[in-house]
Amino acid sequence: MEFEIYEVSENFLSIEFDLKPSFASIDVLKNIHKILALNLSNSVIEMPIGLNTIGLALKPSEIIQKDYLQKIVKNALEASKHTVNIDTPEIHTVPVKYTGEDLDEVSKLTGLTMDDIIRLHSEPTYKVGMLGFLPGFPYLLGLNSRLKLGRKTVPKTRVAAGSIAIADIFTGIYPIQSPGGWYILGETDFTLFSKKRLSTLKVGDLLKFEAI
Amino acid sequence: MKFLKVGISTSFQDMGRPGLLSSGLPQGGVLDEVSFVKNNLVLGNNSNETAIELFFPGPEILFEENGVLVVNGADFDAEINGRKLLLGKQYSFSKGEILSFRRKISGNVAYLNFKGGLDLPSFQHSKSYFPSLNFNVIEIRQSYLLKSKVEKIDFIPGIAIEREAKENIFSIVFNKKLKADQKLKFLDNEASILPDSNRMGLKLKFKKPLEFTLEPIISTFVLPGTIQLLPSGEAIILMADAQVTGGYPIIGFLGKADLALLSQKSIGETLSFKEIDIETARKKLFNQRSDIDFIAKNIIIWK
Repeated sequence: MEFEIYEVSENFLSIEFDLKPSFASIDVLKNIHKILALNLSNSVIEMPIGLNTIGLALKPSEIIQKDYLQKIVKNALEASKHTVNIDTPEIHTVPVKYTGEDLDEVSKLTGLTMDDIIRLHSEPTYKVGMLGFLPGFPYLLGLNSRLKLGRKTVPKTRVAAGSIAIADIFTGIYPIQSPGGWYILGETDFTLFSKKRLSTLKVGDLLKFEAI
Repeated sequence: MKFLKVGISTSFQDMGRPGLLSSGLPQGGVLDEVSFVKNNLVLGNNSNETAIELFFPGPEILFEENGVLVVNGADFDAEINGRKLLLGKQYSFSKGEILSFRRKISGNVAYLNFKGGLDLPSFQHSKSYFPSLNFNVIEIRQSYLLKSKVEKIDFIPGIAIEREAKENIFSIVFNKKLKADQKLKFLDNEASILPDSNRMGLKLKFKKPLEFTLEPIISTFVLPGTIQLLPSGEAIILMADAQVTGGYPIIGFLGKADLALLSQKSIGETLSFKEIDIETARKKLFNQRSDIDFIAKNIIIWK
């Protein structure tokens, strides 16, 4: 597998892999991440996992030369072919009221009925591909391709906390009120971020929506 | 102390919460790390002791106990009951006195630090205001206390610390995907800071709009300093409270040393860019931080 290393700042490197985000790619990244962590844990503050990236937040005094990291990643890739070592994912059930304000528009854009939209959205098991945008906001993979839409051309200035929305190949949940450009299908009172636990979800966790 | 006026975007800040990107949480913290740390060093505080970060118009503060403070960063003509304050110098204040900021002389963001620090609740080892959780919001009715009682001191030996040289050219490390002609469109240009800029990011309008497109990217990690290209031909430089991931194509990044200087630029001001490589950016950061170390050592000698 090809990869490229980017400097995001003086002390943050991104390893970008030639991967399309999918259930399988998350497992591949988590596996490589585990091996890399063994080598790099002394030099980093944290190593967040993205959709096709592993980030290295270096300690302030650390410098990792790209050439050196190149070798470490290559070795980790090689090793990852022989060992698969991923924790069993946690499974979360999220209750949803499908009363979102964009259901009509999604119906128009996709040609699906309301019932179809709800069925297609609540049927699959989703997998957390990345956390970002807002604290605890999950980019969930596994959306039915019939629900694939872009982002709204004009984002809304206020999307309520708990809104469940779709955009592109993702579905996500807004942990807090924020501006947003995703199509809102429903709402939940599921807690995504708390001061004590921080993000409820982790990359690789599985999630089911349950219509109520 | 009590805030008689809160001012615009006044907040409690320290160095923020590093290491929580995996939860989607930005580090946050002060915009101008250099001014902030210098203040704490002058006061003999821990270098990460919480300060009040303020813009113009600033707050008006009534002191409810005696203490010692330093103001640094932007010059907003600070005074305590008519006594003018020099930047970077310690002053004692008494119960009943009022601190105010009269007019904007230079800079964009100022830091007000107190000897011994402020008594505030913390979250993940930081007392920084956290916008999305409404954490540590400054409120007018509430009283805020110093952490330790400071006796009234009649004479405080002070040193005024030189501020950074004014600079309008900022150093960018380009994304290696950018082609030479695209870089040129960015470098051979001038940008002004748009009004919808804040602690999340500075929006830049270019004299010659950036009429080039970059390949769309899969949302990835972004940090303070990341420069994103918007479809409108404008650009955003992400600042302390920026979200941790972003999907706009990335032009490059501004080094941390320059980011502290950039935070002193106000809305409407113009700036331009020059290219540097990552090694030079690291060296620049190292030099800036060595200056701080130098001050720290000298203050210890002077004490």
